[in-house]
Amino acid sequence: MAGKDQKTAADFTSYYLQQSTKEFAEDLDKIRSADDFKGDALPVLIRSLQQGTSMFSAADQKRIVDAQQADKRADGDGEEEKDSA
Amino acid sequence: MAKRKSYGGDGVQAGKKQKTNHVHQAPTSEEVYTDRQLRHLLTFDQDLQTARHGLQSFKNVLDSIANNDEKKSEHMQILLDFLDSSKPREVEDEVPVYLPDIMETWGMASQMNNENVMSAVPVVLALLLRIISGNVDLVSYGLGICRTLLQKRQQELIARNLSADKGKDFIISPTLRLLREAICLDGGALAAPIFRARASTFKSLARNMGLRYIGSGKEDPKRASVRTNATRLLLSCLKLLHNEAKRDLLLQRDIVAALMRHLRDDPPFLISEILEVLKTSVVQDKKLAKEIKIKILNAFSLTQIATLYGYPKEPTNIEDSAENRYLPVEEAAHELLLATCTDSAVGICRPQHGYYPEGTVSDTFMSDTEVANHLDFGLDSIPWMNKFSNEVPVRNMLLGEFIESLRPWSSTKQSELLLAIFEASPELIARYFIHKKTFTFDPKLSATWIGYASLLYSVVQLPIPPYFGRSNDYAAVPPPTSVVLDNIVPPPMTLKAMNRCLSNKSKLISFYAIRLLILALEKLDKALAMHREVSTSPSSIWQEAARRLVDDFYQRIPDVKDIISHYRTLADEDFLQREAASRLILLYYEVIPQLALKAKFDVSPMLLATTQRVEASKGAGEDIAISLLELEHLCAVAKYSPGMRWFARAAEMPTSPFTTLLRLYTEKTTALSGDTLSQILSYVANEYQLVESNSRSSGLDPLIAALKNTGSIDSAIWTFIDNCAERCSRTPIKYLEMIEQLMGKVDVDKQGDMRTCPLLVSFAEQLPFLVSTSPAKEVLKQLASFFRDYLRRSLDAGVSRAFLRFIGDLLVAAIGDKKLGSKITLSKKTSTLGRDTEMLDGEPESTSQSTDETKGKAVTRLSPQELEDKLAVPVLTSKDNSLLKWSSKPPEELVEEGHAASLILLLSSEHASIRKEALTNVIKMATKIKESTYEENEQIWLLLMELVESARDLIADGPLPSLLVVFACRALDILKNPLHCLYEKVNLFLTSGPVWKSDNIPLMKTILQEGPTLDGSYYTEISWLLGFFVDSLRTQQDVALFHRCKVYERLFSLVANPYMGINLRTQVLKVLYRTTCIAGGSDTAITRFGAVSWLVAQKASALDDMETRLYQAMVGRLWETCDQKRIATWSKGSIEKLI
Repeated sequence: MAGKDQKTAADFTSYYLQQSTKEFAEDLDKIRSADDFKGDALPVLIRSLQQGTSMFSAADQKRIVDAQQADKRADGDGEEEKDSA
Repeated sequence: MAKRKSYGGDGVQAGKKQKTNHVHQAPTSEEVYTDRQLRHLLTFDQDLQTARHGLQSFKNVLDSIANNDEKKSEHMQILLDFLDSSKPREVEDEVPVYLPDIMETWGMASQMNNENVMSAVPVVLALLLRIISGNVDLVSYGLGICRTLLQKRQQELIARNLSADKGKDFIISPTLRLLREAICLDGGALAAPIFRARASTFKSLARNMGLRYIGSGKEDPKRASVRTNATRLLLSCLKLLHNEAKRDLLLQRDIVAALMRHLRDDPPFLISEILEVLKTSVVQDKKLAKEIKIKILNAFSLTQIATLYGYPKEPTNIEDSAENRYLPVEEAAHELLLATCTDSAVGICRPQHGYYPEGTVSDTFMSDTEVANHLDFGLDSIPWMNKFSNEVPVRNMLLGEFIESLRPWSSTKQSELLLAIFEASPELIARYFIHKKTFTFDPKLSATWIGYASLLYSVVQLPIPPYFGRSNDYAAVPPPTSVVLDNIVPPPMTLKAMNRCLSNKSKLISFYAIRLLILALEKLDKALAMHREVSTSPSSIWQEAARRLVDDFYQRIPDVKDIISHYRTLADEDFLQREAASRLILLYYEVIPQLALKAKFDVSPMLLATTQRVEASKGAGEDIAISLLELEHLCAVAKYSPGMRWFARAAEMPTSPFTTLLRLYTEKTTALSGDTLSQILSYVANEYQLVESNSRSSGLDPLIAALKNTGSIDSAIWTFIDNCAERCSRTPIKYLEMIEQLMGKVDVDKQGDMRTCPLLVSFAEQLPFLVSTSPAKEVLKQLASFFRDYLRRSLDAGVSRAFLRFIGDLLVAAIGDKKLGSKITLSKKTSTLGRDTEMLDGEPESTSQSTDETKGKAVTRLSPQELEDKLAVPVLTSKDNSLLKWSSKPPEELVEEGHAASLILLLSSEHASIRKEALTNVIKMATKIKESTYEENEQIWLLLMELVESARDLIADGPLPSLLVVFACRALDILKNPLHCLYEKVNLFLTSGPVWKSDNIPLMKTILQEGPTLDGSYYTEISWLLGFFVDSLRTQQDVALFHRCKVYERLFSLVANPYMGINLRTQVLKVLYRTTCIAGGSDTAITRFGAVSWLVAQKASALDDMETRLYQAMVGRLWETCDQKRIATWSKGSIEKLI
């Protein structure tokens, strides 16, 4: 069960990071070209983005991850159907 | 230069030359074949050149052994023989000197200032000791050599070598190595004596530790610098010295400082060694006192160690296997700092008091009375309460200073360390930010700002220490508001900075600001909850502190208006930002509603827009899921905002927000929507009286379930539902009145279960209008099946059957079409809805979906005989010969065996003569008992005489009322038992007056209204009273008396007490049953006390099946024993129906 929870958390984190990079693409580029972007800056940046996941309860994280997976499954089915056709 | 040379004398020049030549001149040596030869070579010789030759030859032998070359075993044998043969003889009173020739040579060299030999001797000795260390058999020689070294003469030589000029590392280093080998020998056997001789052995150690490698490139571990050797010597001491010596060593301030100075410039292998020893031999040494640890792990040292963050990673060198056992420098430093700064058991962090600054603690520990005096004047009477906005004194000053040197925003590890320190010592948080003035949070899209934001996020996220930092309970006085606030909203998060972040054109910056505010509000909520937990009254000092905290919090955070206007600017696809902003708005409403409500913000347009977006969304599932979260937040905001118009239809929307959400909730798959939405819908439906809910389930559930079940519902139906909901919310009273009218027609029996649903009434009311617009057949079909489902589910949820039947009838009538009507009423499966519900009432011929519970109701009723068995109580009668029998009995038997009671009962005899005779006998008996030695004689006499006085006039007119007779008999039972729970009450009653009033029921008032004399005996008293009532009901006069004294009212209301057990309830029924046994009793009970409706109500609320039947049978009994004609007219025939 704990393993499953961890997986959900990891999946959610990856979703959150992906979505963040989508929403803030422009700003992230600017930061990466800033003068002080050196040394640990990249891990700090990633960590700071990732921090936001703590605002979501485990249940909400699961909802979003489940929705994502349901979506993927639906896509997968669709593709399979196409393939078989 | 050449010119100057020629001026100098030869001797001097030669000397000078000689000196420089020493360094470069390679020593001569020869191959050694026997120990004898070796001994010869090392024999003291005045000629130091020869001596050096010998030493070099010896060194070659040792090198061969140490390097494991092919001649090792041969040389080892030579060495063994040599050591054996050169072992000093034990002579009494003479300290043995090992290797006397070598020592002599060393002394000579020192005297002659021959640096080559001065270096060669320690080189050879160090090597020799190292070989000995690796060979257990030789240890005794090693110890002997070391003891020799500790002799005064050798100490001086060592000291001289150690304090050689800075540049003479070829002398200093071997000497340091020699000492290190000596210390490490035999597990540090001689470490302490060597340390004791520190005047010589540690001579110039601090200076030597400063002699770094100054060549180009990296320091070779095999040709270590003086500093490396000196440091290793010190580290060996730290490892091997026992506790007290270690303490003395750490108190050598210059040495400790020399160790840590410019740590980062050391070669990585040395840094690793230092960190390892600090960890294992200092930090983890539990015997070493914290004060001593602080000597070496002081702020300076910690800062030096912290400089190792970002230390470049060394490529692992396979050859240096010794190096590989250490962690990379940065990690080792991090681990050491973590252990040092956060572990209160082994580290240097001191116990602290969380949000209570140093110096306030004594106040918070005041005794209660002192505190009470102190606190009467509020928060401002506490002298320190407002003192800490500019400086927070802490116990962990050292850590406080140290953390200021960290750069947590640019290094993940440093940030990790800082947070760990904060978590271990929360007192430092407020101080850190007050001191860190350069930390400004003005928005700038740079890595540093991101680092700041990340750090602030983590800091705000840190939990509030339990009890605000006190160890086991809350203090009397709350922590300073400014400190609490600084922990919730750290000072860099100024209002100005936050506003600038919000209005910044960079989305990321505003997003980070919003996230920070979310955390801050959540933390404030927790802090306030903790304040509430402590405060006993609204005027308590903790409440005052909570109010002040909220007030001050307002000053630090942006207005909700700014958040809302920011939210409005967000693009549709900014899912995370929208979710975060809506969450923040919700938190404003939940945590600081005073501030949020001031904004007078109308959430409906936003709610509408989001709803539309979610409905229209065709994006990925996760996007819809996160939009739903956002929607939930907004709905919750709407729930809190008084101006929300749930049922008003916006121009661009087909239905009102309520119906739209209902549709969204029922149409989107359940996996996506959480409970929040249904909770909000139920909340709104309840608030607007659309449905009736109870604590177990929401009244909206049947509708939601039916809608979900129906699948894709036509928009016309949604409009219809919307219309009905809107009407219902607008005029709830109208529908409630309609329900009342409807239910007025329902039988009394059905009224037990009165849960209804105004929304259904409005459906029934509005359906004709929908039908009149002649909608598509399909719509009506769907509507019909929806209604069927809805009614069925309502029934399952516990809505009144009768009510649903009415609604079903109305719906069938309204829909007009018979076929469709029958669809509503489940014609396919069973019967019409009307019959369906009839069946649920218990019609035996119905076969369909009745529940177990309803089936139970159809089970056969109790027969009159069964009822009698359960409820009938035999009437009290007197024994035969009571008038005469008593006189022959002793007083005890009179009371205990019931002779007295039997005599008393004769007072209600039909025959006047018997009554008179009985009265006379009672008087006689009273006298007899009074004069006897019977324990309770006085009270019994009093009781009997009061009875006599009360009866004297009454018996002339007729039998004495049963009440008085029975009371006297029952009181006798109580008086003979002083432990009876009513003993006190009876005695009080007897002493309250000499005559009993015939129209007053003794003890009824005191038992029912005044509460029990003994704790926990309330129900025992009630039980006694009920038994007394049953016995007292024997004649019509008794019923009349009960009527006058309002006994039935009291009994019927008594049962309303939910804690009354089944036995007591049955006793009440027994009273009623006895009433029915008396002529006219049933009529009185029915007409005067509404006994039938009371029974019906009892039946409806009865949990037990048996009890239900008992009530039903009792209704039948009342009907059978009453004047049926009269009652039928009186009740307009309704009572008959109930039978």
